[in-house]
Amino acid sequence: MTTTSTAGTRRASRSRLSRVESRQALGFMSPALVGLALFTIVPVGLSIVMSLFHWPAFGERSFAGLGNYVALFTQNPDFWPALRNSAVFALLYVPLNLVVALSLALALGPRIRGRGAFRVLFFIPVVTPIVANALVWKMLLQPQGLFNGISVSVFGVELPNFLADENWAMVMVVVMSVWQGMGYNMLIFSAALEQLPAPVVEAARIDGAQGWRMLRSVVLPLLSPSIFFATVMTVITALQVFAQPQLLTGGGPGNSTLPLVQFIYNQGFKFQDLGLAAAAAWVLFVLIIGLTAFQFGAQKRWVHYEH
Amino acid sequence: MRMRTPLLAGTAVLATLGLAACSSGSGSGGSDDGTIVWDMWSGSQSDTDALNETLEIVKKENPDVDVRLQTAPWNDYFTKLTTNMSSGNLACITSMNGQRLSTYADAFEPLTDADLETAGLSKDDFAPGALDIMTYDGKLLGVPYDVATMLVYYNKDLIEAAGAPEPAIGWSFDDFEATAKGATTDANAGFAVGLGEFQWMALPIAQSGKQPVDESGALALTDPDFVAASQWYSGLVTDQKVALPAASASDTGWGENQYSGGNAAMAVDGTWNAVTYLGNDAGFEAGMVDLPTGENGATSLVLGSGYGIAKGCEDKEAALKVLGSLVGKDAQDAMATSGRSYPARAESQPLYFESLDESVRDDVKAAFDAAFADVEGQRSTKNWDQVNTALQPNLVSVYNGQAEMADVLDQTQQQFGQ
Amino acid sequence: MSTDRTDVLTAPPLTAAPAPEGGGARPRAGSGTGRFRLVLAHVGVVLAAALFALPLVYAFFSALKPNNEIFSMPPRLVGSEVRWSNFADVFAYGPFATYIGNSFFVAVAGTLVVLAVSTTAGYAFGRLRWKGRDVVFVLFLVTLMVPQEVLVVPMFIVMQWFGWVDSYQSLIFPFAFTAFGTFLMRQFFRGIPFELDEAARVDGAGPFRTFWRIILPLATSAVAVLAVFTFMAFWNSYLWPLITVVDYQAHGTLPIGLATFSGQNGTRWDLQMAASIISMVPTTIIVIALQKHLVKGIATAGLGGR
Repeated sequence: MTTTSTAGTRRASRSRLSRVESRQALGFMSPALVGLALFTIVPVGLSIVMSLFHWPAFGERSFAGLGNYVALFTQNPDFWPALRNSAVFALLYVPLNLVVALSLALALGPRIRGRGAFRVLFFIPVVTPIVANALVWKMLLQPQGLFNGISVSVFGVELPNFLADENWAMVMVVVMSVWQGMGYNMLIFSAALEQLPAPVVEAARIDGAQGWRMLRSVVLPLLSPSIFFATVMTVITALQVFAQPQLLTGGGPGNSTLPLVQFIYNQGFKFQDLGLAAAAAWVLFVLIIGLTAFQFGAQKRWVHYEH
Repeated sequence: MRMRTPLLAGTAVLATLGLAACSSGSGSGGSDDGTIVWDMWSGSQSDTDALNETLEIVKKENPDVDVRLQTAPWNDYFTKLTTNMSSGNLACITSMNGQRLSTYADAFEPLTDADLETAGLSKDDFAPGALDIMTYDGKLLGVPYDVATMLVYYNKDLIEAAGAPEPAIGWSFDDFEATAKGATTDANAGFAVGLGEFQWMALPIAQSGKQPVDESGALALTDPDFVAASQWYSGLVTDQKVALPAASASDTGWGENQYSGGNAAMAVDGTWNAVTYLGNDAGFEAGMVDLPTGENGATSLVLGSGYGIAKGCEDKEAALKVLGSLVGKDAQDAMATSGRSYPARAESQPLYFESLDESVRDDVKAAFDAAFADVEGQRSTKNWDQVNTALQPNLVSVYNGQAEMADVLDQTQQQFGQ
Repeated sequence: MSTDRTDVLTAPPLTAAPAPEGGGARPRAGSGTGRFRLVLAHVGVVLAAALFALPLVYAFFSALKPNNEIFSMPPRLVGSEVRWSNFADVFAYGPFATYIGNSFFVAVAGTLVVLAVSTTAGYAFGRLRWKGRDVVFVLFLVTLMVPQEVLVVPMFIVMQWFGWVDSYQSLIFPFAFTAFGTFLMRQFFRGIPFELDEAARVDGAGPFRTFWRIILPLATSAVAVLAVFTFMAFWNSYLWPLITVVDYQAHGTLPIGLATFSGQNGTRWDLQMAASIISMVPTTIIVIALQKHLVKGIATAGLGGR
């Protein structure tokens, strides 16, 4: 590394260095770039093209321009409900998931015995195949299932037919999804808690903070970067939910739990209208980008980076 | 910014290439090296073994043709079919379920009389009404390999224990209600309603004598007789309380599971499950009868599955010969004797009953004969799949008492009727 | 990372008197509020764990029931007989040993590809400086947000162009280039002090040697995290293998194998539950074994703190 004092030489060597670094970067990036081009850009491009066509699975294709998009917003009776359902699901799921994950991470402090085993237990639903999870929850929730059985025999109260009830179906889908997915965020928060800077925590304690005060004024702000990350990722996965509603309720009753991705799947694979499916997928994409950008913009207000 | 321009340009080029490559529409037809591919659904190893036995028969009858079997599980078969259709990858011989034919009709090559001759088949080979299964819009799109219709299955043990009248062939709807009411106890229901298309529609069709699609091929969900019969049907749950509401819209097999689990005394299901119910896991004695006879006579639909030739199949003649073997006498006899399905070929049908246990043989034969006596082909519309996808989740609300059957039928008619 | 760091919430406030021991202050044993909070935490955790475990226990016992009793009324935990044979019957029903083997092979190979691609790309984004770096990174991230369901048909067409339909390559490569791994490694690499690079350059090491010898060994925790999550994603992937696999006997994987239990004539729920339990064993073992690394890795990957 040159240490000559003339600014010119330093500038020259810096620009040479940056060219060299650019080439090196290209080298490092090449596998990712090749993969991106072949396996992401091309299918993505194709699907954008498909969304601009009337594209039945078999038969004549005709250019539709924005026709598919217009049809989605004005004619299709399931599109707006699907959009609403995905939004409602995300609104219910994300806060519940984060609160449960954070609470459990906080509760699993270092003085809890067997916290490693507890952590594994809370994480197991994440790694279990969704098919099995959905089946078990269906069995638990049905009127002939465990919950209603206990409720009737112990309390004498007949629980509603959860998954067939228009008001309860979405709630139960959210509950099952939280059970299934919160382990991931819990692990992130556990890691973050272990990394809290000791000096700050000590200082706060010396000042007399404890319990709730400690949580609200010290711990949460210090955790905010990881909460931010978890929120962004959880919102993205919530808007893309598919398997849980499809397996638990089939989108019903009516279309009260039909998420947008299931709408896309139905349009493409059941009704053979690939163009409309692609158009709906791109609407979802725009929605996700918009929300993520909004969150990134808003982070200045509440996320607290150390440096 | 500078790095992105080549990236964007590359995308545009690739996308146009892709479009050009795909704009041809139809495709190769799955016989690129002279092999005829036969696409069929299969679940367990035993299913696949049975199909391989059929394949052996086909190969023996056509030594000069190379035939290959390709399978997928039942539920996934149609997902993959859509992908194959849209990428020009259809197998020359594609199996198709009669009820879904309307959705995939575009992919099949209509069969003429000359085609049937090449295949070594004649229309008379098949049981009456069988060819209707694979007919859509007046065109024959394939040949059937099995025929089926709906029956009422009942649990002899539960009915006897409750002292309810046992169903008998040729019974009426009043008899049905009597049995259902009599068999309903605290522990189990007398009947289990269905969510699947035919499991629930069979009784309203039988009672009203009307199909939800009229003779001109138009959707007729709001026909007053059909609506009344459907209301009676859902009333079994909400008013008469002889059946339980379904637990979830994704429980497509609700009624059948309740029956085979011993929770309900009766359920409607197809003849394809006769052997399964006879040998049920729960260990109860199963009985079967035809659907109750309504005021307009006995109306029942003939259902089933068959094989068709995909459009764009290169070696159509070889494919036709394979098709002929697949539903030829030997293959159909083999299928019948194994008890897997009730064959479409008329001469093979008696063999099916011979595969059954002697003690049940006569009862089953009597039920089948009565059920098949007066069948008509199923009429469907182009968007029939969508109609049912829309109906099923709404049925759950109806059974749960949160929606009215008449409203649901009305809405669906408005949405999908022309 | 010290595991005996004082429990942040349950420790009582320090009085003006200095802490008796050195290092982190510990609450004195027997101090009222601290102990009460600890007990509360214990109780809460055990309760939550019991609620959480309930469906898993139910799943396990359902796998031991005969098929018709899965939906029996009233519901019972244990059926009329305990059928351990269900687990063996799973293997007789279909080529499940093949499915497990294929899933393993695809998951391991796919994980290796993802690790190679993500570490190199993450290094380029995280430690090298070049024009347009951040813009391209955002482009990468954006690709994360396209739902897979709409990409499968175009991707299948791409597979046809390559002649990769129904092959191991089609199971490993197409969705191995998602930006998640690159994102994770970039976050981690950004946290390593740049002085190390400088020192390496002074010693005459080129960028690849710097990467391979110095930076990557520091990243083992993050790499472990990425490996686990990637393995899980491949192991549980359903829609894409469904589309691209034609010959189940040759290339079938476990999730699509689970679907074979549903047939035209009904579903073998008992075997499906047993197969699901078998399916979750490898991933659970990996999680148990790497649990400490996972937490450490997530923390040091810069996702946990700052």
